[in-house]
Amino acid sequence: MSIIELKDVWKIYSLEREKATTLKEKFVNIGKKKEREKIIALKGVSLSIKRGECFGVLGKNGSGKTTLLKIIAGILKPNKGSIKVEGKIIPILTLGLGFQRELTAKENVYLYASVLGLTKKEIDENYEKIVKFSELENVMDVKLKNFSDGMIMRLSFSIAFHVNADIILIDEVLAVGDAAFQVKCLEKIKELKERGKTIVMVSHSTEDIKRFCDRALILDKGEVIFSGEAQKVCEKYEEMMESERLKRWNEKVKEESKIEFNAFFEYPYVLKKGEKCEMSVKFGNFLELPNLLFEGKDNVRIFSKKLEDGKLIFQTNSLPLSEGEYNVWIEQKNRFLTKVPFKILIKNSKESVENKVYMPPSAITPFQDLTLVFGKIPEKEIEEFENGKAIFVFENLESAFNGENACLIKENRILALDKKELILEKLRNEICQVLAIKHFKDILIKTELGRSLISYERNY
Amino acid sequence: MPQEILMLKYLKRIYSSKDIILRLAFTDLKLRYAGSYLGLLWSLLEPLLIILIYSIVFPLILKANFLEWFLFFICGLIPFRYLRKGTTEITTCLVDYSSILEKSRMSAENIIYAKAISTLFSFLIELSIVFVFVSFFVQPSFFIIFLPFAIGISFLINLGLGFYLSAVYPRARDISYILSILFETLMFLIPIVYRIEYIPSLYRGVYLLNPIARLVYVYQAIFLHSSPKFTEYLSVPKELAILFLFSLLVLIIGYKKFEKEKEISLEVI
Repeated sequence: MSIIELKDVWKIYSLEREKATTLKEKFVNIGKKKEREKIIALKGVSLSIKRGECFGVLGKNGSGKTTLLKIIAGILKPNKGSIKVEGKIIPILTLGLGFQRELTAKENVYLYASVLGLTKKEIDENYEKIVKFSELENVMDVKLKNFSDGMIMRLSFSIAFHVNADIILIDEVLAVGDAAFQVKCLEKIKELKERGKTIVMVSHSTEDIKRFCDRALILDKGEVIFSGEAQKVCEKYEEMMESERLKRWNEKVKEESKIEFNAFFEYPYVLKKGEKCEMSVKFGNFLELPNLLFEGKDNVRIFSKKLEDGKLIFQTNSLPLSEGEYNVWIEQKNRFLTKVPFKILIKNSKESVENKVYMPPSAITPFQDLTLVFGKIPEKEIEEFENGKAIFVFENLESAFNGENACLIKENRILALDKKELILEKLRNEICQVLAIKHFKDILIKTELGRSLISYERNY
Repeated sequence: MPQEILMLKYLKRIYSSKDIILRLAFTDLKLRYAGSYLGLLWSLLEPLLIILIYSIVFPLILKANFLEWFLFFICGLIPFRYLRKGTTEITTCLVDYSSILEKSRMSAENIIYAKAISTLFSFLIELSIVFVFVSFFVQPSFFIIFLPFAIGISFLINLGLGFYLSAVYPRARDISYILSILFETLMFLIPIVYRIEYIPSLYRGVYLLNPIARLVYVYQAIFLHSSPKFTEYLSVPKELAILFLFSLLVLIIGYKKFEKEKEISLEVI
């Protein structure tokens, strides 16, 4: 009892590499062999969908999902294979297809519904329902150009869902509209399903597929790589996406990512109650905004709020931490992006109203070790010199530690070039000295997964 | 026999999608003048202005009787304008509506029919100019009953050309440029700015091989038959019959080409 049946369907787009659309171009290209690029959109897809079933199609962009829908809808003809579809079919591939801004909402309802394949009589019968569902009763005689995008979406949804068909094809159109309207739409889909309509749904969101679909499949490069029960397919897809994302993230990190961690603390810094404390992290590119995790007695996360010139700013109005030592990590989805935590010590002051946040020398220690060790070719590893700041760059921590020799560079000058231990000693002393006398203004730490860029700046 | 059944099938298909065709035609007409202050008036103003310009220039050159020239001129110009405008507009319409065609099950023919209807409607409005001027100066004759046939034939020719050209256009966009040149030339190859008498009778046979020239002549005959200046060269009913056959031929060839090219053209747009 399958209502849609596809058997070994192939779709190949053959695109002329150089599209010669004018006579002159054709003339110039005479004699040249036409180069045709073949894009295989579907490679032998077979599926059968039962009456009253809700079927989900998952896949990345360019995996052939829309082509599949278009073939089921009969908009495209396959190069090979057979399709059998029973009953009236309505494809909703874009919302508001053919909407004209210069026409009134009412005229657009009739236009869009006609394009979807309704007769005038059917539209007349459903018109009231459509208008009611869209909640736009008062503005149906207003030209569409005066509508907001949200209103247009609502209108097109209402039309699309009041089409009386046996099979409805939906292509990633559910993710629009405000939350309340979305719920309404989802309920409508449920209702359609209960009325025994067959729904084929393309979506990126496994949530939607899980919620409605009985069965689903995953398309990849035109092939069905997994199909079965919707729940299982979704889990599989999520797994795939996660591993893909990780892979991409790692590649990206290797290529371009830098994390700079600025903490604008004077030492010791007293954070008054209610005072804004700002930290920023500088990235190259990232997929998701990272958080700051204060790890210690209390675990507190500060979520990044905004992004300015590639700089991520964490803002919090209060830091509800009890007394103790905390590790500060930059994390993303429970993965630490920093290898070494930034340490702070929280001490309640005697006045008890104020929280003292300050960095003891111990907080600097991990950086100290890292900062001063260089590989063999210091010139290459020095990234910037400006305004008396020296930023030291390492390929990775291991190589830095393994190098026998090291040098200390300050203000574009090599201060010392010696055995590693000696340099370390020297610097440790220097830092301690500095700490003893002056405050650190900025501590700049550059670090990332594969490669740690540790540096510090000092302003005397 | 199978041919007849096939034709019946076509007509049935058109009938079943009449709602969408009319809706698209309505949309097209409405959009044509949407946002302009004068709206539908433009469809009268534009031909009127063109008529005005030609009427100033051509009678001077041709040294003809103005009124006589003028009536023949408008009777020829308006039908010719329909042919030109209709054909050029239908030619590009698949590309114009590509977004809808790509994403709905609507067949491409519907857009062609809709466009043909909307241009026909514009033509009927423009035709009112002819009616006004002609009825002012010439007694109407019974020939007016031939007018619907002439319009029908124009419509069919338009549709046939439209089918053919719109199917080819997505892959060869030069057509729109070539068309405008062709129509510009054609205008002087048919009796619009001059009368058919200007053609020496020796060449008239060759001249009348052009069916469009015959069509324009038929329009002039229909409107100006009772005018004393009108001389009947060709019998109108006979011409209508020939032209009808011609229009059917154009339509069939056009439609066949359209059927053949449709798939490929739709992929290109």
